[in-house]
Amino acid sequence: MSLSKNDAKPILSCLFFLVFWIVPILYTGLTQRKIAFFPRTIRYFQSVGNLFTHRVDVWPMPYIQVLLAGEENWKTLLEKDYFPMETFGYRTRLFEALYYATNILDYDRKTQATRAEIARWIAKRYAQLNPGALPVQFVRFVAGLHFMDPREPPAGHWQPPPYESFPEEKTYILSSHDVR
Amino acid sequence: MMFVKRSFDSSRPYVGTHLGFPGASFLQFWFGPVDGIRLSAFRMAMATAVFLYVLYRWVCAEEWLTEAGYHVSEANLPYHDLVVPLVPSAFLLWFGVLLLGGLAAVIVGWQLRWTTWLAWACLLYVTLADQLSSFVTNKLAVVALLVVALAPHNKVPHSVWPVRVLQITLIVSYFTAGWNKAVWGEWLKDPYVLWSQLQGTYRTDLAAWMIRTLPLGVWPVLQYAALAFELLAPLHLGIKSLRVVGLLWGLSFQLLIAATMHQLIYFSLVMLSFYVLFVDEKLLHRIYNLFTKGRGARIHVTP
Repeated sequence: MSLSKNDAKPILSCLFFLVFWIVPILYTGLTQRKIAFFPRTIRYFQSVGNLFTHRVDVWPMPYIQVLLAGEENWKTLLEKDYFPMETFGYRTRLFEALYYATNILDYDRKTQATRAEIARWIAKRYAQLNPGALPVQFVRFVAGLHFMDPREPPAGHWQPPPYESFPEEKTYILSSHDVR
Repeated sequence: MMFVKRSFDSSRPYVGTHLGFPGASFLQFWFGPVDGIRLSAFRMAMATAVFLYVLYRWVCAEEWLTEAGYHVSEANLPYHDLVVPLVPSAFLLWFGVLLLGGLAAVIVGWQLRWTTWLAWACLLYVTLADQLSSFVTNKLAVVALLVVALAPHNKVPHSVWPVRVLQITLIVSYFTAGWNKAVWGEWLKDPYVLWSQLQGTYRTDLAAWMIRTLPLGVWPVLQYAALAFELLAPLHLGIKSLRVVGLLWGLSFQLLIAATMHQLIYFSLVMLSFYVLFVDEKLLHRIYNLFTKGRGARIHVTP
């Protein structure tokens, strides 16, 4: 058996995509397990078919609040001033960081560390956007809960209402951070 | 037994395809000759979809790709460990020229030998640089452009492997998406998963109107139709005689996603790019000639 140089490229290219792409996306898609011996970055690309699988009865709407030096009341910031980019749907990169990039159910070290660094970044950004304003001392992430109800269908596209419009029992604090 | 020692052009056979042994049909499936129009059409469609996707995001390029926006620190990277430096603000415009210019060159077929690699490298970079905004659309586009970059760029018949890899990618993507919904998810247990998903962060005005207007009983029908489409993809896209049904079903599926889920028009465009790989070659030639008003070079159709 002999292979010419011209034959090698299509064969190797095809094998490459079979081994690194087709078989892994099939395996990962069927089992929800990643193939352990691939590096994490390669495994990241091999996960493609896991969207919209479960019913969602409550959609959280995240808000950023800051407590300025000497103030007693939390101030809700306009998310678009800090995270204008929409990533997937109407979600912002803040939403991704709070709900998907970190584990919302487990308040583990990494989740808290990520939220703390976002809080520090927001405090810094607040000072840039509001020169001369009182410094931010605390940042907290809060959420209003939107419950699915056939008797209250949505009026239009996804658009979180002002945080203050949520009844207290439909809000919760994700985390609070000292940024002094 | 030996593999054929010949180059890939229209007058010569391909890897092993001239051989009469039992594995020849397998080699024919992967390496037999195919008309170049399918891959060319795919290249144009995919690059156009990615161009529009990137152009939309470019409005927020500073937040997306520079220090001006929040980026997860190295210690807390959520999805993969590769640390990719951000674009210095002073070079953002030039990077945009490279990224969008590279994609534009791929669309029109200019200097494909290196512009495809340029577009692929830029897209890979933005996918890795910001983990908070990279999704399945990015992953599919990165792999698709890599296939195109490694494939032959001439329009004469070429080895069919790039077309096969991409066709199977679409079928596996649909099937595993359906499998996840049916086996690991709740689509068979709860008839209102789609209804609940459409009310979330994706919800467009049209989706809200549908939720307000359509009777609740319609939603299970839509849900099971979508699930059936995904699970049956290996049949309706894999069997040639069923492809018209599969493509029309898929077209309506993707258009509904695009219309009811904000920004998923780009995901739908990327998915629809794969559809041209299943379209009849003669039809693709007719469309090509329509656009070039017959001035375009005649692309050889493999008998």
